[in-house]
Amino acid sequence: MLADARISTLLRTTIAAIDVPPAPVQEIRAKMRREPLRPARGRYVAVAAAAAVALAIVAFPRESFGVVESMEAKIAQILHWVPPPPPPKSVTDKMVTREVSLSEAQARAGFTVVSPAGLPPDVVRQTISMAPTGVYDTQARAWRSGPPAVGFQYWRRDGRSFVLLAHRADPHEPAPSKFVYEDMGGPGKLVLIKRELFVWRNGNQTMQIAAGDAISAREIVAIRTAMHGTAVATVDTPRASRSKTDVMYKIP
Amino acid sequence: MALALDSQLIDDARCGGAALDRLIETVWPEAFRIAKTILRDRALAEDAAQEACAAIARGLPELRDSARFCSWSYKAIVRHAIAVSRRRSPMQSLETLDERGIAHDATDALDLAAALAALPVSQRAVVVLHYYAGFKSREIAAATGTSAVTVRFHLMLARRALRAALTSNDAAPAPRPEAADAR
Repeated sequence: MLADARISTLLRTTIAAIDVPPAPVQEIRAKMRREPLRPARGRYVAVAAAAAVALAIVAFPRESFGVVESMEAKIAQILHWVPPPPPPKSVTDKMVTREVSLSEAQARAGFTVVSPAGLPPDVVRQTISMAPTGVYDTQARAWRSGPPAVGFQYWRRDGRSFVLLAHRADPHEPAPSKFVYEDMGGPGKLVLIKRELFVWRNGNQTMQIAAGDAISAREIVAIRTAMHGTAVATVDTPRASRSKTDVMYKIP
Repeated sequence: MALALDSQLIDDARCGGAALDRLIETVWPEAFRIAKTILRDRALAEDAAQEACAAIARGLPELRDSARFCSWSYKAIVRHAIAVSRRRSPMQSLETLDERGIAHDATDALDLAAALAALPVSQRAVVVLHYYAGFKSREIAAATGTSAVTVRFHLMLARRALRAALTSNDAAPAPRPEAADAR
């Protein structure tokens, strides 16, 4: 028990020595008036329509097979788009996310990485991560490992975070969808929230992000403008994907 | 426990106004320090402490027994620190890894901080609630949303790591592993 007492004493000493910033009473008061933030699930079910790039995480790892079938049927009914089957382990094993520096991302991405600018002023922290994508060939109905994508994740002062996703531009890819649908439902319950998708190019980089709780459409346009990006035209047609492939990202 | 408040201030703060500001100012240092110990990142600790203080202020009118304020607050602080840790990237910045969260050079404290840093967030939270706030395993389980058995297991692993850090500093033989006794 002597060690316990010593741990306790040392812990008190260590904690007491932490330098504390002034109490942000007004910010706390403002947060107090707000409803607690609903945790973002970050689970984009599908990019409806002519999505060359499906911003999709379509696997439902915690659901039973029956629930998955039922949810897929609902997605197909609502979006007229049938999500691909979950990728095999041989593909997901390669989709390992790594935090990288900007220079490392630029050296390894396979395209000229242009980092975001014009970010909201309350961004307090950022990370850059990279991961190989998973590519589903809709004709061959097979998954394979794809080229890496780079994610710029930013945290705002109130804890919200958003990710700008960059990948190599493909001049042959069809126009992306104007909207993505984010699943905000609980286990076994599908609640699709429509989000506007913004896509722009800088050289051979395509960057995309959906407006939502963490970042507004106006803030995204400010970023695109500050980066001198060229907006990619989107299409608002909730039809099946015209793309030959669907791409799965595992970022962040 | 370091968080000791006048029950009159708690009662006054239920009505809001300047008393609530004073209560927030009193709770803030403790909230920040605990969040910093668990998260080891100043920006994240500020986020967690702010959210915890907001939750405490918001929930204050529903707290019937002012005597429970201290333990109730610790639970809120630890819960929000864990929630913030889940939102952040699994990778840590180099800045975070270099920071030990201590402002003095006592060797024992350095060893303890280093040993704490090596623990997962869930175990750091358990350590803070047990060794700092004086919680029993059942109270820690209620605060962290796990079972008392899990808490005792985490505590045993954490205790083993912390004791090893301290005993290696003393150049003493390694401690005999023992079962958790935080009942």
